Amino acid sequence: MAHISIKGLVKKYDQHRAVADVSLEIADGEFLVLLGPSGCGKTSILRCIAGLENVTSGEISIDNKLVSSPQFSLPPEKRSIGMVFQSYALWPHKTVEENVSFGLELKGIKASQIKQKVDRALSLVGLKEYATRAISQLSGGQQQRVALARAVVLEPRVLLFDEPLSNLDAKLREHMRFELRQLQKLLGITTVYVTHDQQEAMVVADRIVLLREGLIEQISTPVDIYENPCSVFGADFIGLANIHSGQVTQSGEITRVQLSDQIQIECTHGQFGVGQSVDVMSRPEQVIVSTEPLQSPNVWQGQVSHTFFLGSVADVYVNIGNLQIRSQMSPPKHLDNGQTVWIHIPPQALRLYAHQTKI
Amino acid sequence: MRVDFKLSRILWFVLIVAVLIIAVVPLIYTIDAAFYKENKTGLSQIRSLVAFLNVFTSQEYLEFLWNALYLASIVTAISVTLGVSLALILARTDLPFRGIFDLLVIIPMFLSPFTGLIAWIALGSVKTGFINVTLIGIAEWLGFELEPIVNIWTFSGIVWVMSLFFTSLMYLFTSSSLRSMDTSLEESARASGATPMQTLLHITLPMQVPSILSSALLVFIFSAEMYTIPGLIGSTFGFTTLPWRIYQDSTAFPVHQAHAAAAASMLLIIAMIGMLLQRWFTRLSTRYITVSGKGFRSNPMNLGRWTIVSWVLVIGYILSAVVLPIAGMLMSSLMKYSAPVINMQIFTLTHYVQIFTLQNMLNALWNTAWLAIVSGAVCVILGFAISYTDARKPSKSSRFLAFTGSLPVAVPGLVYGLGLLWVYIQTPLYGTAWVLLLAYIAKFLPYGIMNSRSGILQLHPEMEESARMSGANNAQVLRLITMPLMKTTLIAILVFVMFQSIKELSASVLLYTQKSQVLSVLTWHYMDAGNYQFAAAVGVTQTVMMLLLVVITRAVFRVKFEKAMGS
Repeated sequence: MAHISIKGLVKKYDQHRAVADVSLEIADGEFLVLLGPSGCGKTSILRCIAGLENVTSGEISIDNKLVSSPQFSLPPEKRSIGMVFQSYALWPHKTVEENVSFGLELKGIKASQIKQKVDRALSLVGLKEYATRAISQLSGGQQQRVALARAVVLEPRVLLFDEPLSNLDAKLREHMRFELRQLQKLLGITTVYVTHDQQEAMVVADRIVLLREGLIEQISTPVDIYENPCSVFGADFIGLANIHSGQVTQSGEITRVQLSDQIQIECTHGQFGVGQSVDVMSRPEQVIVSTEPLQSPNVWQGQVSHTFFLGSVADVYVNIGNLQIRSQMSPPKHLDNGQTVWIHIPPQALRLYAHQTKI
Repeated sequence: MRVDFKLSRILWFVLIVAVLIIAVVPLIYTIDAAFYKENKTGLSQIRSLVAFLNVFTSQEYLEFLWNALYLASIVTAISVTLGVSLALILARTDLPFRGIFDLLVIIPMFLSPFTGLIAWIALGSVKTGFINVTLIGIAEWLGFELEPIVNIWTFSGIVWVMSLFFTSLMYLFTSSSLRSMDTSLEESARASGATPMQTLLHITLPMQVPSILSSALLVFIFSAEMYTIPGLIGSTFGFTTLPWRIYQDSTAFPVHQAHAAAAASMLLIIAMIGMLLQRWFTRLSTRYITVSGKGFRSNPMNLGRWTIVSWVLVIGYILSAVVLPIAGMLMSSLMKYSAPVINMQIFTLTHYVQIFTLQNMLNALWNTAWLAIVSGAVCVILGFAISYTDARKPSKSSRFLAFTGSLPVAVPGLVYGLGLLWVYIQTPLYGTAWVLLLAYIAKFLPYGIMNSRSGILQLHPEMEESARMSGANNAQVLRLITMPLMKTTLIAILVFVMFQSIKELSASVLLYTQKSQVLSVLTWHYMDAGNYQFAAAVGVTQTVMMLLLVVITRAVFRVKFEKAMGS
């Protein structure tokens, strides 16, 4: 069990700055997810923790012991870290058992003890009967479990996951998320997990670190990061979002924003001065669509542009003048294209951000 | 830890120097030698442009160059046509017994082109060739007279023997590229309404063009730089190619060393240009490989009325390139002398008895064997070390080493032989088999580097990283993970280099002395002296050695060598 401390981490590949300046404290036993689009530097951070990459500047310590700095790097095999790779990286010339026992044998542990530990690790992932199989005889999900068993069998201080579920099909992925989370809580090993899948992050994480272009955008719990994203980027990356820009016409307790000629919107969050350009964000599931007129603030009349039936929800796109707003209705109701509807967004469900010109 | 680091630094430095000395110095020496005044035994101390100008501007030498390029063009055209047709027939049609034919067609790869020549001289000589003898015998029996039909001692004879050999190379490259082609591309052509023939002509073949061009260029370079076959046959009717002239200039008294050096530089330039073009085509062709190894084969094309033509082509090739030569060479090796009439008195085992009793024969056998093993081992180890470092921990020095080490691939064996000869003739190394070893290592190290590189690139780096995470250090990763995973590739390289060493003739002929004989040089020697039967016996011995190697590789390592070589 260990506490990881990252201070001012920078990682450059030639001239490209993969990690710009990242500082992080990861608590003992915590399950931390590094989340972000491809190229945001999440894998680089993970590989620096593992010791597979040297840091360009900054420091990484595990349990207050320095493991990485520009002058010094503890070799990966001496860090007591277990890692699960995206490709699983199982060795095809070894059986399941041999894959798991490899690290134990290197340590020179007694054969009887190795057997016991391998058995325990394989039982943990439910593959005890597969010990003597060749790797090529296993399915993707089973290979994933072997990789996991191999990572935990040495009883590491830290577990690292590099997009471990991205090669699995959707059903299995959903199941494995849950299992990983349970296993981590059972073992209590400090875990850093890299993914670009926001749903996966929400399921497994104690805390999510949202990364963007080598910098931390936001660190928070899954619920908070969803409900209170600190930027348009965060809102857009995690979950679905309607984003419209406009001008503040009234500030104070209630902020009013003019989105178009027809639409003025009322919000209870956010402090902005009159005349400022802002982005207004709403979650589609908070947008209420009604076939009857409604009496309340933030109600507009519009026409259904198109709808998609997704089973548990319906995706409804409503045109109000030249604005389009997306709503997710659950349970889904049948609406015709071109049908007149009223939509309503509760003022407290809206979030305001200072408008940024798109990069 | 620190000592370790320093030691590896020193080793690395030694490696760079060694590769420079082996691969680059002989070349520089050759080019430099072109700019001296000649005397009867070699070079004087005086600088001169005479030889250089003579070679690069005189009608005489340009004609030799033209002859070499002309011969190479014809050989390439025939080999490409035959090789590609065979590959298409055996990889894409429903011809029966494709599997066996596939194995038979690549057998010439395991023979040396020069043993092919020995065999075809036995088969195709005017008066004593088995083909003419047999046909005339049959004709006589039927009661009419027949003039000899085949004559190997002609320009067509040169083309014939060389084409037979290079067809097999073309076949190997094209069929492996056909196998790595995504079949869904052909299936989607069928789905768009194309017939199998239209699919072949409009999709399959056009997609193979870069790969065919790249192998065709290789064949062109190999045949343009070959001096053994064109020289031995061509010299009987005054046909001289540039490489043959280089050989004569450098070996026949009075020696024209500067001329040989200048002409060798000319050959080097052509080979380098060819290799650069070839690299370019190869890069184009890898862009065409979309998905590989799906293992899903669509229905083979129905040959229909083309079946007979295909049969004739496939069986005709196997007969001329495999069955007849092996049979002819075996028979010739058992005969006392060439004779227009064959009877029982003419057969003898003397040649084989001599090979295994005469001291210089045994020396040659022993030299061939240990040179093959040592050069194979050195090329595998150095090639792997260089490629591994360059792939996993690239640096300027690793890139430099990988580049200079691969450079000799574009250098004709003849040019290397000359360079090494001139560099080492003053040293005690000359006259020993060690000079041959240097030549073989220089010539075949590129295969070690390039093939192990492609093997390493197929290995996901995460395999090694996961071993680090399991507590293995660098050396343990290499020993317990990387090397075992690359076993097949490494063995294939080893066997391939051993093969090439056993076959190597063009550099060996220049570098051998009485003490450092090898089998291939012996065949050359006896062919030149007109003792074809003894040459055939040595050729058979050499061939048996190579076949044994294939069988052993298969049995011991379970590596299908011909598959590993095509990739």
